[in-house]
Amino acid sequence: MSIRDRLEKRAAAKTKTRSGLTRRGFLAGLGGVAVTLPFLETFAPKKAEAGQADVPPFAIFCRQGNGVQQLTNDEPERFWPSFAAGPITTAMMTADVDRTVSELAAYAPKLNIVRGIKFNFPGNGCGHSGGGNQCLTAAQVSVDPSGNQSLSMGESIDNRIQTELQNGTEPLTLYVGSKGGYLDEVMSYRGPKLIRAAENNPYNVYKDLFGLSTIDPAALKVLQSRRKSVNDLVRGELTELMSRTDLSKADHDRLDLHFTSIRDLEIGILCGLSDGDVANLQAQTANIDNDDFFETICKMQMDLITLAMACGTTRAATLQFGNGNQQTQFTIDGVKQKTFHKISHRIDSDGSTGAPIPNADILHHKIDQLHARLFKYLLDKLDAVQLASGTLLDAGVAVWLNDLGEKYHSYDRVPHILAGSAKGALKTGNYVDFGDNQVTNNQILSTIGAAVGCKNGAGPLDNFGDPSLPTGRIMQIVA
Amino acid sequence: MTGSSNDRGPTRAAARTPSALLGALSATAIALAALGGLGASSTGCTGTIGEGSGSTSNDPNGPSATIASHSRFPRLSHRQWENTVQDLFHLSAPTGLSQSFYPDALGGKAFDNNESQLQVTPELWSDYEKAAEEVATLVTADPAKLAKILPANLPTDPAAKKAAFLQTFGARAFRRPLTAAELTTYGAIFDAGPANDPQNADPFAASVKLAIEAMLQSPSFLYRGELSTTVSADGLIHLGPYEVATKLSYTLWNTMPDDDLFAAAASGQLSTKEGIKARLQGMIDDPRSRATLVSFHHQLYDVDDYVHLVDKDPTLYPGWDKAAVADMQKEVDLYVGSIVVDGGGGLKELLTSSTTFVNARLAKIYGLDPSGRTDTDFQPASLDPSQRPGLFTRSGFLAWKGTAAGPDTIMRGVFLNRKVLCQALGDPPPAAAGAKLGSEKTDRQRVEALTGKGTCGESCHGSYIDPIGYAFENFDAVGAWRTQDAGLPIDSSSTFPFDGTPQSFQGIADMTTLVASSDQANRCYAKYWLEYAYGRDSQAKDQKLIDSLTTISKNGGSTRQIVLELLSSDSFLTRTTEVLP
Repeated sequence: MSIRDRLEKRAAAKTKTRSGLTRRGFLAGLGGVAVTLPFLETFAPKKAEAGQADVPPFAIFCRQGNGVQQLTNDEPERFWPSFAAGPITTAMMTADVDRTVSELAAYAPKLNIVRGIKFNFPGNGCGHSGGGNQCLTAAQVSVDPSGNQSLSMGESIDNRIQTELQNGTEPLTLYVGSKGGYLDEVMSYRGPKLIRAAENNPYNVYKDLFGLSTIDPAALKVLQSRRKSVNDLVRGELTELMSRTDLSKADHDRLDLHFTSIRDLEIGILCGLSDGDVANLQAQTANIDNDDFFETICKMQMDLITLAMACGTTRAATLQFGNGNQQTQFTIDGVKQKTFHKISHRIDSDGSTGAPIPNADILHHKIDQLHARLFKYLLDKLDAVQLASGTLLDAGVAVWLNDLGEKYHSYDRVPHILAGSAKGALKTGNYVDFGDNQVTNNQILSTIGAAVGCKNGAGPLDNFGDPSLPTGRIMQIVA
Repeated sequence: MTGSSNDRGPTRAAARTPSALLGALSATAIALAALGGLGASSTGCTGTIGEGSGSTSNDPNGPSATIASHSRFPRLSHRQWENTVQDLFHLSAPTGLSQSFYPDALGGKAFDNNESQLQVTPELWSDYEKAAEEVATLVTADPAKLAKILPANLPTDPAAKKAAFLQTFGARAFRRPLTAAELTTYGAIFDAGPANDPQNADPFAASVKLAIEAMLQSPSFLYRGELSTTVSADGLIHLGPYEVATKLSYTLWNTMPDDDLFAAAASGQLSTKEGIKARLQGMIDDPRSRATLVSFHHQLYDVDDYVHLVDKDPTLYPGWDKAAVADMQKEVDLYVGSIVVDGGGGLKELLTSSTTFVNARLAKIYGLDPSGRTDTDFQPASLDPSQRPGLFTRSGFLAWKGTAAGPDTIMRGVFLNRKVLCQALGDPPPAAAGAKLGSEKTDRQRVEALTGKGTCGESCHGSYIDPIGYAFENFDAVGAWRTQDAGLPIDSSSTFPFDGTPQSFQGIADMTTLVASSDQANRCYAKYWLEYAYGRDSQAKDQKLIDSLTTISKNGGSTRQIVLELLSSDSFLTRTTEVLP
């Protein structure tokens, strides 16, 4: 392939900034409605244009680790509703006080509670890694590497949504908590074994997404021009390197990823926050590893997700709560507890054996409730943004899921709680229970992907994940 | 975040004028063609160190049979980017810009320089772009900073001035002379500078600014490219002198070559193995290698993870202060530096020395008199060699691998098995998850009852994990020495199959002596050093080299010897002609 061919082939990659939309597209979609985004008390959009009258459907995936406290051979049910599957109301959920999902009672009409989703493939030496690898990919777990280094053998649904629906931009890949532990990010994959790093610092997230919001239009034009000059030069260098015939595939792929990562600046929507709000984000940089600030950082990340979706910056976002086996030390009932990982296994050890932790099942339940409340915070933010038709929550779908079923590293009955109809593509206000006839998670991922616009040929996406899995969508929640 | 301090020596390379480099580059004929520039585990509880997916050789008996494949485009780690920018622009301090770079997903790799994980993704590319712009602005907006990167006797003729800048600065940015084609390309972007910076009153500064932005985003800056293609008589492709200079510098100093090293490359000193060996000794003796030698141990032994240690039970440890965690991390770095750098020691000394460095907080844990000590000053101290032999009897590891109330016997054992002995351990079967220790009286009794001989955990726990863990029974939850548990005398004796042969020991000192002399531990140390120095996973073709390094280490060889051996090896200095699929 000639250099010219390569350049032409990759022309599609030379498109957009992270903001994603052109000025023209933005103006066309504005519809003259200014939106006030309800952020943390001091948060407010810097510009009145920091929102749109309408946005395309999007998906947000919030992942809790370590399973939930639900029915097992030796513990009672505290997670799922006590009432039978079917339509749900706020009153029904409010009355169901002891169940974790009832924390979301206020959103009952906009929810889909789905019980009976399973991961199809075994892990390879590490239950947490194997679950994390599958939760958004529905793909097999790598043979090599194995254990806590094991990886997914397929792309994740956020990657699919972003590349199919807003090519040239990246899915937002966020994380709350410290890294450098046994297992870090597990959710987002560009493709087989290509895990995407997640950002745990809200200030960096903001700078990446909206860092140009303070530049005046004339200076932005100059910046656009100089960046284009540099990008063209670097593309030429990379193309020449890739044309060598003595490169290994790994090196070629490495350079190719670099090439396709280069984006020219298009002057699009300039969402941003006030200097004071940005300073608040920056101030938390010192606390990103501190468990005492877990909820604060988490809410800031959710604020930024909301801003990104309101501005049409991205179509898919992931937010991972804690590291791969969530070793966060939460404060429950005023007491800072042992790590969630230890609590989830009910023993005071990260290994398989240890001294029992008293009331660990109750602590796990309360940590589940804490996560439910954090998810509700996201729903509150999304639902407070009014669009021309409905709220921002109605325009997309937010998912609270886990990468394990319960305390035994099980891949059965993995919780999937959906909120939002993706502009009416999903029926909401449902509790779906597959009982013993569990369905593999590729089907719910296909359902979500299709709801926001992904296709399988001319039809809706229904074959996401490993090709060996049964295809289809979960029609009980499809409108 | 991984690594100690900033992974570079405590002293800075003397800022030398760019003209010195230009002189060196022009004094010697550069073979541009040779540069190739742009213009031109096992299962169960057993395993073998160095297992990997090495490529097959064209000739099983040829020289490439022991040369494992590696990337020809390893990307700078974030730390290397930071160090390089500081040195390239002769800045007095790091810019700090890399702190907001998109993090690399290390995927469980032990070290932050593993080539397989270092990729330029869209997020990181965007960070590189912004950082290049910030650095270019920083340098060109300040005449004093700009002057530091300009050659002496800068011509006044615009064309000559441009050429002098591009040749001089470019050679340092790309760590090799620019090709003629590159000079043309970068000349064009240099010329485009003023039009792309209309507010800049100094057109030369505007040109330099855009050229810097481009160079800092070039693959020639971001990757340590190995582009040589000339096949030598031995059938291998020997890296060119500038590639050698770059590889040595990043491996030992974690930054770009200094002017002396560039001059050595230009003079041909790095074109022979003898010349390289002569240069290597000086480089490893240079203070700049200290941080690298320390960081290897900091990363391998997960010292950053000490921050995750659990808070200790205030009723049992009323004086526990989590501020001690940072002290413990610092103690490890000081200890390792004193052993492998100042003391010229190796694995044996690391595992057996009873010297350390303490402040007031740590002195209390070690039972030393804290009077006269402060929490900020670390002073050398000698500990009881029968109680405190080596790195893993220091408070940081012991407290990290301790529960809130006592030792975490199993996790201490797991850690040494995996990171010191490279003993492959399978993960526990699903049925074992959440198994609870019983109510036996002592810590050891509880572990033995659940996982010891005669239980379903016998094969891994009873034979491998628990015996090592029992050797640490004298250390409580914070790493203080204890002689009793629940009123009973501590039993820290056990038996472990070192090198496959069961050997009994009577306690921590006995056990660490056996570990230090075992083939298994020395082989493990050698294997990890290969992975760190080469920035890649070990492969099957590395086995012979690992054998050799193991012998050096077992015979009392120093860590420096191991590093010198690695960096003067053909595995480091050459590559095969194989084009991998």
